[in-house]
Amino acid sequence: METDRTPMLEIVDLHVRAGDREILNGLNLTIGAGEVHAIMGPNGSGKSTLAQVLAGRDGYDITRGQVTFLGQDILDLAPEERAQAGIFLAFQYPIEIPGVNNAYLLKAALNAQRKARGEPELDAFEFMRLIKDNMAQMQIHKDFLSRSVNTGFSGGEKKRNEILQMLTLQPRLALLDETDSGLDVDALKIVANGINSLRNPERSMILVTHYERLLELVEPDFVHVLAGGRIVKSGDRTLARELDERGYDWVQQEVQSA
Amino acid sequence: MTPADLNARFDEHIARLPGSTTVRAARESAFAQFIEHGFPSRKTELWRYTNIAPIVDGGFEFLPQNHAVDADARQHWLGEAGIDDEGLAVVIVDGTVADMERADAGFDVLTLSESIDRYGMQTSAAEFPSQPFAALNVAFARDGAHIRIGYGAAPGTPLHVILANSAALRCAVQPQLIVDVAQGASAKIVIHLLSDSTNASWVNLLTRVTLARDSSLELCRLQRYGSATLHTELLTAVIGKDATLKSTSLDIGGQLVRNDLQIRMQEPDSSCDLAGLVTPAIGQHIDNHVTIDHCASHSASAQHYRAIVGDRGRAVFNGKVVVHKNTVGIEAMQSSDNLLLAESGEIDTKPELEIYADDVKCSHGATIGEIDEAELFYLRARGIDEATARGLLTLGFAEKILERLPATGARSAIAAKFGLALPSDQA
Amino acid sequence: MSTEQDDVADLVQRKYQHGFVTDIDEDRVPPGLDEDVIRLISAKKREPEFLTEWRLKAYRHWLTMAEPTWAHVRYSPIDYQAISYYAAPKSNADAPQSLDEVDPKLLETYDKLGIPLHERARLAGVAVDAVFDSVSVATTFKEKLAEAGVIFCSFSEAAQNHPELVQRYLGSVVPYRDNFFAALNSAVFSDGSFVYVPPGVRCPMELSTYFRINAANTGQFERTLVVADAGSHVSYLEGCTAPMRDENQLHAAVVELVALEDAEIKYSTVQNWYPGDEEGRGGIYNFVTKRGDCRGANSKISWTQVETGSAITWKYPSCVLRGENSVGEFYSVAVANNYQQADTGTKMIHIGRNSRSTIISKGISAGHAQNAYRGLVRIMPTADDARNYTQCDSLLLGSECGAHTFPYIESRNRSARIEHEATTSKISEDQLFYCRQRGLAEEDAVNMIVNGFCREVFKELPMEFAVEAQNLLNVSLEGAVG
Repeated sequence: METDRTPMLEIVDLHVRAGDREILNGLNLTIGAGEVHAIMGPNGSGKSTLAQVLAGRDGYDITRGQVTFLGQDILDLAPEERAQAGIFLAFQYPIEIPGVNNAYLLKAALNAQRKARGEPELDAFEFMRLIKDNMAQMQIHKDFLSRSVNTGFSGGEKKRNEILQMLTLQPRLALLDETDSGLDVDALKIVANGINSLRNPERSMILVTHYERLLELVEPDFVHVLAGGRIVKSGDRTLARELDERGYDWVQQEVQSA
Repeated sequence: MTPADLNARFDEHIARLPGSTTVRAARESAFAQFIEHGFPSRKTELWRYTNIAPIVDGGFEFLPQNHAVDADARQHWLGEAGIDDEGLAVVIVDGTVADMERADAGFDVLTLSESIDRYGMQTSAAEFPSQPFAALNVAFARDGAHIRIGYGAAPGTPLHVILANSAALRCAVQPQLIVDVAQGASAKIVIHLLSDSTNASWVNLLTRVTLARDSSLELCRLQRYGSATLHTELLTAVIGKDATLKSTSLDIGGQLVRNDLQIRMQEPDSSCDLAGLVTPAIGQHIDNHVTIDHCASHSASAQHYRAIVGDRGRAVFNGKVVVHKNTVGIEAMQSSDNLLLAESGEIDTKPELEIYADDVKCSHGATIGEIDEAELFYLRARGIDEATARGLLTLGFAEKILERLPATGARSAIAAKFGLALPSDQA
Repeated sequence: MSTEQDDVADLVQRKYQHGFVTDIDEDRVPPGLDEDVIRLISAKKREPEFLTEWRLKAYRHWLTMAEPTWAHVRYSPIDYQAISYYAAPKSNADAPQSLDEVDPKLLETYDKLGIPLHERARLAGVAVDAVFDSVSVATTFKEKLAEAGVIFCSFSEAAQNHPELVQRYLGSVVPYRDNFFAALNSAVFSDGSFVYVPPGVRCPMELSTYFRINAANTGQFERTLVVADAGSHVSYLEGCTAPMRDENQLHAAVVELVALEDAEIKYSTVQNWYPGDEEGRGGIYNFVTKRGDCRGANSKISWTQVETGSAITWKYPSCVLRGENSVGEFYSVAVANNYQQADTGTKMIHIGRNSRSTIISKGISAGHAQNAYRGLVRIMPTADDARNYTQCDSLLLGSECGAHTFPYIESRNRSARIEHEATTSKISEDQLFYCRQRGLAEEDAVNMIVNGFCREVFKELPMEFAVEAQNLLNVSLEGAVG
């Protein structure tokens, strides 16, 4: 176990390009164990790119900077190695995989992670026992397990499925990319409860969002504004409320005049 | 018409066909290419659904020389095509271009003989080894048009090209259309294929389109022959970087109609969007054969072909997409939707994909059926009688293609052809 | 080209030498084919007169035919006179005496495929007498089948013991004139299986179970005939997920199925013949004619195939839907890796009123392979209210391979309804990333996605084979990605 002083995640001077476009432009962010950070910002500010880059998505060039997770440099790791180390990305648009059922994927993922950590793999019976409660918590019907991953799911079902996976995989760091988008009030509550139930001093979270709605239900410790590829303002949760009322323009003006 | 007959005709006519000795050599080699394989038989995969006996047995006359087309005739066909005097038009009657005004409206038009005099034969049979009729066209081509749209030009009105057949004699007409769209140019050309109701000629058309960088061409082809005309055609197009071809064809008339399209996505980011509607009935055979070669990365193609088939009609569609090696980011979609209205009709469709690269998104879909019962019921539940409901749904099916074409009375022609009942305001 | 040709010659040559070395030339006809050879084959098998005559007619017709060239495959010419057309079943003397003598690589594959231990010896070609368990199991099965009245025996036995059934149905679905390879098979077929299920009988077991245990060396010109009499039901599985040892390069099998009124035949194939090495050397040429005749009203024939082997596959299991309300189905997974070439698909010929067909084809190409789907749906004027649905998807793993789709759709009936859909794409980057983000290694993610892609077909396989088929897919695609 790392000491308390080691941050969960440390991003230093991160520069990221996609093709000819510079998307992240010297981003710095440190996240301690047990902290929940919200990253807000206008469309196209690079929020989703940050989440994808942390999870190891291909197609981005990291031109400068470093990212350490629990003291380990992760930029050279494959996506599965990051996942096995405890990074979980709840996708903004969860991917459909026809013919592969939910239970199968989740069990394979859980066992791959357990194996990587040197823990014994679960058999079907143990697995079912494990996820039964999680499904109840997310109000997911049991026939859901035999359906193909996200195929033919409603937007709300997809998002609940992401949180179900998170509950089951128990990551150290959860990146939730616009998990609140496309949810009605009831579904948002279920999702928020799922997220809150995972909060503990050993686990950190990054909530990427551009609405304050989710932050009413999952209270962040810190709120950051991402604009032009870097964090331009940080504060506590009152900042989120201010952004919700006043939009993003004033932040950008403030940055420009500074 | 055996190859030997054709040989005699060729020897007889070659001296009188336009062109220098170089052109003559091109004609001879094209003819040799034709003779090597002769007329295609149904044992050849590309012709398995097309019986060309009416052409082979047709006893057609090849006209070796241009003849005079009087102004009245020109006016008559303009009227038949629905074009007012103001319209810009090239009129080709029985294979000869009628005198035209050369007003420069963004299109630079030469007759084929002028073009051959100036540039030689622009088409080479070697480019299409599996197209015997196109080779025959190169050998016998006498007249037609060479249309050029200059650098960056964007004519505001379309150019109409009318290919009309009036002769009572059974002619083998071999016209050529050459369309060169220069860099950055953008234009629209409407081709009208017309004939008298009794005309029994065979039109063997070759159209060659070249699209330079950043250019675009919209091609509309309206075929409304009488019921005895035979038609074979090859359209070849080579599409340059960031260039786009949009093509829509409608076939209503003709006895045997076979259209081949060979589209080559030659440069990166080229695209094409092809559509066609055929409506064979009363013993007609109408056939679209499309091949799209994706030779360059990030090229995209779409094909939307439809058929409405009536009594003793036969519709054939063969659409082939080839994605060549070492290309990436190719998108190709193809659909063939067919409505079989009569017990004695036949539909054959063959949407093919041949793919030699992995970064592709290709799909095709084909459907054959009669009018959907659920749709029919829906309209009847709204108080529309069954016959009218059928009429509306049939035209509705055609509409997806027709909406891409200029208004020419095609809807009423189709309604009349299939005896569709329509609400009075739409008939 | 010429090296490949040498390989063919070499293979033939080796077999030839083998014959002399082991000194069993008595039971091996020298290479070459003429009427005497055919008479000899027929005599050795003690066949009834009609069968000899039928073989000869087929041979004479074959002489007038040319090898087909329309398939999307390339291979060097086959010298039909260099093949030996009759070999008696091998004696156990030259077979391995125990699993210890078998190539460890083969055993490793069995392990990956999850083949039950007691079956491995037989599959590896270990001398049959050594496998006591299986033999006794087979005997039990045979008794049970006899009790139900089901005839299940080798084709040769059927020709001797049930000549009237053979004469009645042989060639009634695939006539010897049908095509070049069918004609050749009709002239020289070695052996195969014969199944007859009497009226109203539901075959008491999956014939697959029996077949797996009793798999005989059926030779390169296999002939299978399955007849399901009125109201009967049978499920048959041929082949095996385990790679079979076979030294014949050319395989030209014929399978005929006849389903009478209300009868149902389910025919599943797992084909994993030697595909050649990673450079494309060697491998089986698999030129098969398979056709089912839904002869009676309400009959049903369902083909399921998982094709992962052979250097060249040329195969179109078809249904002639003659009976009113008859049903034809085709579910296929075809995998081509390295330098394999597959041209496979189906034909659904709708003749009967209200006949229905479903085609689900999943093609996977990897390495330098070429994989083509070729299918025909033909609706005859008599087939009122016929229905066809076709879904045909291709997945590309790697930029050097090819995936091709050649559907022929012909309708001559207004009330028929046909729907065809096809897609071709590479494996989705998004899907791969999603699985890897959840912690799966890339290869496992690929296997999972590819298996998902094939799921609709696998679920048609008899239960015990579905899992093996999945493993087979993974083994076949080893090294295809990453």
